Amino acid sequence: MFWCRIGSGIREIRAHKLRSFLSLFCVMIGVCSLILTLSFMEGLFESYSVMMRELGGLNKITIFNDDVPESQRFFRGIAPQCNLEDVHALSSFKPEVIRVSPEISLDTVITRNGKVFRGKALGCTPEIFEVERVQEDKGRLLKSFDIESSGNVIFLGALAYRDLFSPRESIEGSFVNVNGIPFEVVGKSKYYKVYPEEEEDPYGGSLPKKNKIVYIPLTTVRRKLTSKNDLTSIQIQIRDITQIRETVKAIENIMKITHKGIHNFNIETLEEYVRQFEKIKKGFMIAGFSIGGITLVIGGIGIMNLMLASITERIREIGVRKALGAWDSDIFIQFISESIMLSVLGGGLGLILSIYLIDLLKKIIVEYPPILNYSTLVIGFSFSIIMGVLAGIYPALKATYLDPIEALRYE
Amino acid sequence: MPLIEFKKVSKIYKMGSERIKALDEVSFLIEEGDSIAIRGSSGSGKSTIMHLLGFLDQPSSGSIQFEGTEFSSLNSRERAVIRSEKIGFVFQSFNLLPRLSVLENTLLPYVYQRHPESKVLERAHTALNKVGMGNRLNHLPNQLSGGQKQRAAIARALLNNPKIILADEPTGNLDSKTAAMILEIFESLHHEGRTIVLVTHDPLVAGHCHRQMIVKDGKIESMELR
Repeated sequence: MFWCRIGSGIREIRAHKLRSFLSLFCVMIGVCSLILTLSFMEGLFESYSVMMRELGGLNKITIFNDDVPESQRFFRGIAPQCNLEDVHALSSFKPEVIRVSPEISLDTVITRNGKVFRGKALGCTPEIFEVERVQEDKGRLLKSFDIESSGNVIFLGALAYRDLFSPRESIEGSFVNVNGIPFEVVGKSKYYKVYPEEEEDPYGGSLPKKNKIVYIPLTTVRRKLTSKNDLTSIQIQIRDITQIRETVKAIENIMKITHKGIHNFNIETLEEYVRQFEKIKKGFMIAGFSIGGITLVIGGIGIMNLMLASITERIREIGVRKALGAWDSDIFIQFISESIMLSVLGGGLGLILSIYLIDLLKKIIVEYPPILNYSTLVIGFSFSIIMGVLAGIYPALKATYLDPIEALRYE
Repeated sequence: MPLIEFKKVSKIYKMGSERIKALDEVSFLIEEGDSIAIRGSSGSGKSTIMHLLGFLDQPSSGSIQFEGTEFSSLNSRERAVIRSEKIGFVFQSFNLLPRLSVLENTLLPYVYQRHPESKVLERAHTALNKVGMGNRLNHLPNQLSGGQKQRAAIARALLNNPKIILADEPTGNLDSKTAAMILEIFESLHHEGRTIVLVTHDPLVAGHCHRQMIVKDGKIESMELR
């Protein structure tokens, strides 16, 4: 019995092909634009969270040397820079601090067989690979025995390898000159990128810092490459990001003790970025849902218009159906199901269209490409059904409350 | 017990501030197996009687009983059930649904049956054969002549095996030759024992019925036997 009614609805849609197509088109565009907007937002959020992760994650805190503040200018002479004493003190702050990575940053010129690479070398300990999430692509990372023996070993970032080696050349047993001193290459890192379709480029793409750097044991740098003993920065991995403010406070206190109370350091977290991003995200959500919502409303108006026209044409039919014993509810169900059918058809077409479009756009748009989630499709489709119901209620009620006598007389 | 009894039934329409008395205390009986023509000029009140007989409208005062059931005791759903089970409608303009085939149009009352009977296809075929449309099952209404449309509409009215067939100017849109054929069908249905009510302005058409009820100005002017 239900199918009898659906059947007549499908015939109505087919009988007015252009009119139905125009309404379906509205719904299709509506659903498609909602899904596209949500997918672009999803892509934006995903790219951002990949970037955050590749930069070391939220649980990374960086301490830099800073000028002595004006109020403490008399202590300028005795103010220590970041040093291993700080590292030692920070390491003992357990369990909040998981790892401490001391770093000396150094401008270097690296050469090999006439090829040159200019960039930052980082004197470091194995901790840095954990803190910055760097992995070997070939060979191995720096190990603690490299630090203890202050060996002439170097771990190359992807761009340094690219500049110093021929493509696919093995690093095994190869040496490079760092500021004129030979170093053995023990490994190279993979190329890091944020966007899945991103191509490798000579400037490091979306993560230039991470791709450009080379790593040398801290002890080696201090003995053989620089006369300065001080650290450039200290990176700290903490346990609990929900406690980040308290932990930063505690770290500041520790640093003040080791720095004789002089505040010549700067503590940086990614928290501020995150807070800004949350704001942007909220804006995007509102904008996205408004755009999608408005287009869907337009689709709904299209359906309502079609239904009203269709009912005016079928007033007699409604009269006949009532004379033949249709209840008010039968008439209501007949027309609301026709409206839902239109929106489901339009919604379905919208889903298919958006799947193809997103597939296409993914190939064209490299940065912040859209990401299609299963849940987005579900949201888009349910929106179209809800809209079909809402757009159908008024026309269906209008049909339901027609006076059968008037309806049968209608010319 | 009469099939239908009208007791002092009045119907008053309000047109703005004006009150128009379409029916004025009309009383009559229709027995089972009756064949009656309700005749009158336009505006006489015959259509109002027809709508009341078909449970499509409600009286302003008076009592209508169908097989002893008082009209006013029924809600709109129960009235719809009576329309579906006991009354077969035939209209002047046929009122076939344009997108449905002859067979589907005939099956339409089945959609709204609350206690669906079995063998509905068989019954549809029987009804269509009876009116001589058994060979046009899959035609659409716009592929049929006027007479054929009315035959299909009669078959539709017969599907649920109703107690009474209400025909409102069934030959009004047909030429006289076709009209005669349609009236023949009504006569043969009457001979089968069905109750037929024809509403018409045409004395020739009314003459095919057993009784004629002549309506004028909302009142029954006369009741004639053939």
